[in-house]
Amino acid sequence: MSRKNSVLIVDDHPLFREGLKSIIASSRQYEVVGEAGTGQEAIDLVGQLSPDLILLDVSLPDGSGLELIGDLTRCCKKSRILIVSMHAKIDYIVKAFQAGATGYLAKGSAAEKLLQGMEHVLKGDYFMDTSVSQQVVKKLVGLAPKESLTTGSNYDALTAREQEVMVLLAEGLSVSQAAEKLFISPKTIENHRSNIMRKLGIHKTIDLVRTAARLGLIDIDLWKE
Amino acid sequence: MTTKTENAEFGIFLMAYSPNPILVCQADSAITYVNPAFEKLTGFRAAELIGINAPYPWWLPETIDKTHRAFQTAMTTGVSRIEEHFQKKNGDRFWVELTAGLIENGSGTRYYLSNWVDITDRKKAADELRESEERYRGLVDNITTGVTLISPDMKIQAMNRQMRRWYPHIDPSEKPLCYHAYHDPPREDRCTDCPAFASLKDNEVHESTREVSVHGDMRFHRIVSSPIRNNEGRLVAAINMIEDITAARQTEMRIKSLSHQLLRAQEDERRMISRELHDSVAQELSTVKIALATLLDPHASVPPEMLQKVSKLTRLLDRSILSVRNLSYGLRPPGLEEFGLLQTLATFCEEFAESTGIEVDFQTAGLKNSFLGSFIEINLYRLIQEGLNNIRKHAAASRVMIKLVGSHPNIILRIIDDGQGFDVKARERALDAEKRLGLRSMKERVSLLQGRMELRSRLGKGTSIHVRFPRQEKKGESKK
Repeated sequence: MSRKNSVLIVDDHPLFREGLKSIIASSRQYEVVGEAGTGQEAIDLVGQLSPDLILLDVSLPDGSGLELIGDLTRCCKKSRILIVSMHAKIDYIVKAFQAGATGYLAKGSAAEKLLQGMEHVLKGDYFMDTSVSQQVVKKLVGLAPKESLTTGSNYDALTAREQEVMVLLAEGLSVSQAAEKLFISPKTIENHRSNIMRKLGIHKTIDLVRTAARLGLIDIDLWKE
Repeated sequence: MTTKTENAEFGIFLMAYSPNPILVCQADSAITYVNPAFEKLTGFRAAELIGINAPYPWWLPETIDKTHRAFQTAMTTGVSRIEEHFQKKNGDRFWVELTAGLIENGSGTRYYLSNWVDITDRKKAADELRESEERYRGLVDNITTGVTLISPDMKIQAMNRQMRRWYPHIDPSEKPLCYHAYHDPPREDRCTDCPAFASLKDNEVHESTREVSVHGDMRFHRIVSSPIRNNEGRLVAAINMIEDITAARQTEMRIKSLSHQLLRAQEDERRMISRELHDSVAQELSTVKIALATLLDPHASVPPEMLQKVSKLTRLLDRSILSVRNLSYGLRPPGLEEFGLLQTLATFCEEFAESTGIEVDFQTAGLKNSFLGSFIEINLYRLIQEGLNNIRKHAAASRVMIKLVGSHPNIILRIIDDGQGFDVKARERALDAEKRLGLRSMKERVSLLQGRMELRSRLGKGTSIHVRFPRQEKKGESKK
């Protein structure tokens, strides 16, 4: 009979840990070698025990389990991490995998899916339970046509002052009017303007107005376009 | 001698026909002559008066001593033009202007001649004027508005009582001061931007000011300053009326700070309940579910009814866990602290689109990698949440465009839908009547962010909400 896989449980709810242990106990392949209720305890125990598998909760009293993932994998490279979390939101799942976890299980599904998840993760596969994977697939499907967060311009490269100048110019103020409003010289405004145009990759003032309108800086009747 | 007698006779003749009452008495005050005008004014007949001594019957009983003394002085030195208050035979009172002099006849006998001018009407008019002036002054002195009259050379001409109470250190007779110089110690320079100065240039000024009073407390004033012209239309002064609106302003600020606190408390409470639901209740339900699943020994033979019961309970637990989790997510945006505002909003918009079928185009610029502070973030999240909920409930829209832009020093949010639109004015009236949340609570939030919200809509043309607020809370009105 091969060696049992060692498991460390990190969760601040003792009763839930008991529950997980009772599920694990039903299989002969695993041995729970340690339990931790906080992130710090987890780091200490991982150093000592080098477990094959860590069952990790995302919400811990001394910080987010998501941030702990990196620390834990650094402590013991061979340990694989299966997140067992109450959170079932896409943002958590993505962050967990980005940080180095290879499995994600919602607590509500633990009773049915825990052993399956542990098996997959220990084999080196990625694992998600169905209540979670549904969202991930939806996100993947929906991602392509949408460009939710980016507006396709380099507006984010502008400094605070340049933002200030841009909206004034887009609102139709002349260089000298903008200068007066911001208590700076017209020459400085000219400089800001050419920097803005360069950063946004535009050459004409009308394009500056168009960009401002597209971003929502100035008012236009958007549906009429 | 003949001439003298003739002259004396002519004198008597003149006196008899004089329109002014005339009295002649001897040094011992015995009356020797009164003319018909005298009889007419006083109502006493000459026959009743000839030969009587002072005190005379027209003297007023209450001032008889004073009158007597004045009479005795007049008998020795003569008087010119004093005003006296006397009474007629019938008791009516009258005022005269009295001119008196000593005369001597040829034989050296001294007489005292008193010439009266009836000034009762004039006196009455003057009294009425004075009374009306007093009433007016009483009014001006008793109002809670401070009133100051300022001359064209910027000197204080008059201050009412309220003004003197507010600025006890100002002596208008000494210091050339206008309103803005009401500092302690007073400023000596003359400012050219104060309401009085503007009014002296013929402008009506309304403005609000904030200043620290002599006692060191903050006062808020509303000032109305107007030019004053004389009969010829020449500008002669500026009148400053100053109203203390500190109490109203403080109440306003208190209400604002209370609603601020209320919203914060609400968020704190929601966060607490949400966390409790998510981290305790849902966890415990999951624990129970595991306990239930591991309760039965898989190797022992279990009656099928028992297995059925357990699986029923498990399904119930699944539903409970799901609803507790959704409740928790509804109370508090999941991930706001962990993933930041933009990510959380993008996810929220996607989920909204998915659950409602309304397409949401969420765009943002100029806010990358910037933490706006939890107060601004949660309120922005709520604004968008409330905006989208309103659209779902009322707009019948198929598309929503949300633009969130950092435009230093402001943040701009636009929520634009292509729905059925509405009559903004009618809607606002209805809102006031209904006391419903939605738009109203959005407005409240925007005011807490010290921003402005603009709502535009036309029937059939969609609705656009434009919010603009400072990225940093203004000094002095920051969070508590």
